[in-house]
Amino acid sequence: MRYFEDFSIGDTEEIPGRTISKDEIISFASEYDPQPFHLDEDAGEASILGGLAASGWHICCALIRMIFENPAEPTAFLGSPGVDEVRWKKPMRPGDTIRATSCVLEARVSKSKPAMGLVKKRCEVFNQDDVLIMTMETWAMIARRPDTQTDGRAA
Amino acid sequence: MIYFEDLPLGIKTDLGTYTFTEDDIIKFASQWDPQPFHTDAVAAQDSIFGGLVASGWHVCVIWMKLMVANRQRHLEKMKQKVAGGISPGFRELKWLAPVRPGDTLHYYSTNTEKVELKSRPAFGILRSFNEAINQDGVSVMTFTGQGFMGRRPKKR
Repeated sequence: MRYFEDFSIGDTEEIPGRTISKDEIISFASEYDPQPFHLDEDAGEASILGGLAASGWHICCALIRMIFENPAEPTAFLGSPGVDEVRWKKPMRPGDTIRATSCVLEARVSKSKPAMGLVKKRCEVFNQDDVLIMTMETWAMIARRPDTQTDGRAA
Repeated sequence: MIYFEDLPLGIKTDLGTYTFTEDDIIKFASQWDPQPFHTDAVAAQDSIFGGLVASGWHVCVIWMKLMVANRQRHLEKMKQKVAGGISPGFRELKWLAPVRPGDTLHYYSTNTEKVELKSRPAFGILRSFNEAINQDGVSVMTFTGQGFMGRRPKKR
C-alpha cells in the first residue's frame, strides 16, 4: 500500500492506457452529454470539432478509470476535495488509444486532519500519436503511513 | 440563432433536480471510479465516509446531463438555435460534501463572465458559476464552467 509519505514533489508516473470505441463514446454521451457532435458523425463533421468526438467529461472519467483500475500498487486514497483545472485541448476520437502521465506538484499534511495528506498532481492525457488531448490539475487526500501519526506529526 | 452577444450575465438558471440511488451510484463508479467507498456499501462503512458515497465525477456528469436537457427545452420553446456547446475546460471544481444514496441534488448555473478571444475572433468564451445543493440546503459541488460561443456575424 502506498501512503502520503510515498509521494514527493516531482515524482512522475506512467498510467497505462486504453482504447476508446465509437460505441463507448456514443453510449457515454447518450447518457450524460447528448449533444449532436458527441453522438453523430455528420453532426461532428459540421461542428468545430471536425468529426465525432467524445464528451470532455468522458475523457475525465476515462482518466479516473485508468488511475483506479488495476494500479501497480494500491494507494490509501481518502477521496478528493476537487480539481483546480481541466483543459480539453484536442478531441478524443473513436478508436483512439489514450495513455496518461501524472506528476506530483504539491504535497502537504492536512492542517485540520493530521492523519491525512493532500497531494496535487498534474495529469496529462495523450492519444496514440502522442498528441496532448487533456490536462488535469487535481487534489487527492491520501492517508499517512500509520506509524507517522502518533502525535499528528511526521516521525 | 443565439450568439455570444445575446447572453445576459448574472441570471441564475435552475437546471432541475436529480436523486442518486444506491444502484445508480454503484453502477457509475464500477465503470468509471472504482474505489471501495463508491462501489461497495459494506466496505464503505469502514471508510472515511462511514458509508457509500457517489463519485464526484458522477455529480459532475449529472450537471452536464441536466444542462443539456435544460438548454434543449429552452431552445425548443424559443424556436431558436445556439452557436455553442463546446468547452475548452473548467476550473475550481470543489467537492464540498458527500452525496449519499437517496440524496436529491438541485443544480444551478449562472453566467458570470464573457471573454473575447483575440486569437479566434469568431468565438467568445462564456464562463459560468455552477452549483449542486442537496435536500438539506448544503452545497455539495461548485465549479466554474466555460463554453465557446459563436460571435454574431458583423453586418456589411
